[in-house]
Amino acid sequence: MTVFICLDDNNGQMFNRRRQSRDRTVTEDILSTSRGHRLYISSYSKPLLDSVLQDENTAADITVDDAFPETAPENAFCFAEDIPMSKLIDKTDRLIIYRWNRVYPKDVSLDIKPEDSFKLTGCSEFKGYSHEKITREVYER
Amino acid sequence: MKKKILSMLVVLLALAMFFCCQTDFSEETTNTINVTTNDDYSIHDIVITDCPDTTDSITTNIIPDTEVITTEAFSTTTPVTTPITTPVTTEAVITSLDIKTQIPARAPSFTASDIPASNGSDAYAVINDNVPFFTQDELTVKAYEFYSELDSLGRCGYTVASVCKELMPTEERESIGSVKPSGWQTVKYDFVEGQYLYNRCHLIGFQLAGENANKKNLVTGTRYLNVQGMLPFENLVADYVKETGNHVMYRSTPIFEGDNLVCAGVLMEGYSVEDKGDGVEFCVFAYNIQPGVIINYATGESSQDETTTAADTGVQTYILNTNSKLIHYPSCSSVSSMSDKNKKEYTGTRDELIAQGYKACSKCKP
Repeated sequence: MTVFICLDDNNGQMFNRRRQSRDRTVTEDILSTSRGHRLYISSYSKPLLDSVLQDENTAADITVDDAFPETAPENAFCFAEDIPMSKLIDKTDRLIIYRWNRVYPKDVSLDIKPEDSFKLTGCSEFKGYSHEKITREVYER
Repeated sequence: MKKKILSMLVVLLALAMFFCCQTDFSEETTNTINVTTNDDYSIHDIVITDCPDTTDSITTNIIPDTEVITTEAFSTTTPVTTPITTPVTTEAVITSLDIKTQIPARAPSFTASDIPASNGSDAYAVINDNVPFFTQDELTVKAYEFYSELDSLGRCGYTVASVCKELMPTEERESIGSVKPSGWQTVKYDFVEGQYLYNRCHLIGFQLAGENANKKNLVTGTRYLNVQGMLPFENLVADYVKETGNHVMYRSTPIFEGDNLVCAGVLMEGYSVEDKGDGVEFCVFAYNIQPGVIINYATGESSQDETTTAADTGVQTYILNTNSKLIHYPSCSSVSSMSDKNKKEYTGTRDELIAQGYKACSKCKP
């Protein structure tokens, strides 16, 4: 399973039941990386991908399911915004982290240490639409 | 007789057109208005900027931007004060155009007695379950910013803005060193990032409204308040607005106890208008504290808290790689192979470094 997550500089993910940030270039990168595979998202993430879900050519490739940590198959791609990573780690063989390179308020943080279970195999940076620099880290078993 | 009536009608029509032009602000981009609101804040400067619709996703469930704002909107009477709830239902406002948009939003219902006790290290505390105190009639997609007059002690009052892209700065930040907010002291501590205890803290951050040396927008705040307490929320709002083109109602209120010259902290509220708070909703109190320092809030004087240790303050010495922007413990094996020109010793907290864009080394994991 490949899992996508977004983190701030303090490994934060959410505050007050809302994502800390968003950037359309990250969404596009997730879609292009998962092309040809089924992408699982929760209902919270659905509005971010509404335009894709409304397009009949692409909607079929996305499954909106709040229980995807249990239901998604091992070869699935999953975007985990409001799902604890600890629920997915056993099935995950690749973790892709997008770092905002910013500090936001947080009350939900990443609940695993990627270095403990994965090796950093790739790191790249790109300019986002609303973020100066986004770092994309790829961790693999 | 017919000619006389006709000419009178023409005159009346011309007069009507003249007065319409005088009250129509819809074509203007910026208006500065002096307005009398209430006894607490007699005269305020308000800058209103017409904010064109920059997003496709704005629904009709918002207060229309086409509403002409006249001085009637700044009524001295108490308007409807229905607090927002979660989720917000602004339909009542939309369908009732006779309800005036309250610009500027009023001061929040929050006083010094409402401040939750600080544990000395948390940078902020959630207030009112993170639901801001804005009322339905205060939510608007009309861009504006508002700064209270200083009070008789020279202290800032509340500030509020409908933040959107058009309000954001397009030029570099200028010096604000000429402003001496109430309680200002220039004092240094080795364990404070940058050493200076106090910063001139923007109530509405520069990245949100581009205000430089505006004395109505700057308070004496600790480095901790500035970087750990306020900056994360400013970042949250700024990046949301840049990404979506939406508006965020943003109010920042310094809370002073009695006649203290230094505020106990800042009540920060944010609410995204177009999506009814789905994107941004918070209500927090950011403490004006600095771990390891005792502050006399009456005067701004301070002293080191001898009872705290370096561990309490989170202060320790790190080695930084200024090129890779990594933080290392001095004992990390990477330090010996680091080029001298990239090496920098730093004494402070990890959080401060993270806020500066540094990341922890994956080997020594500081």
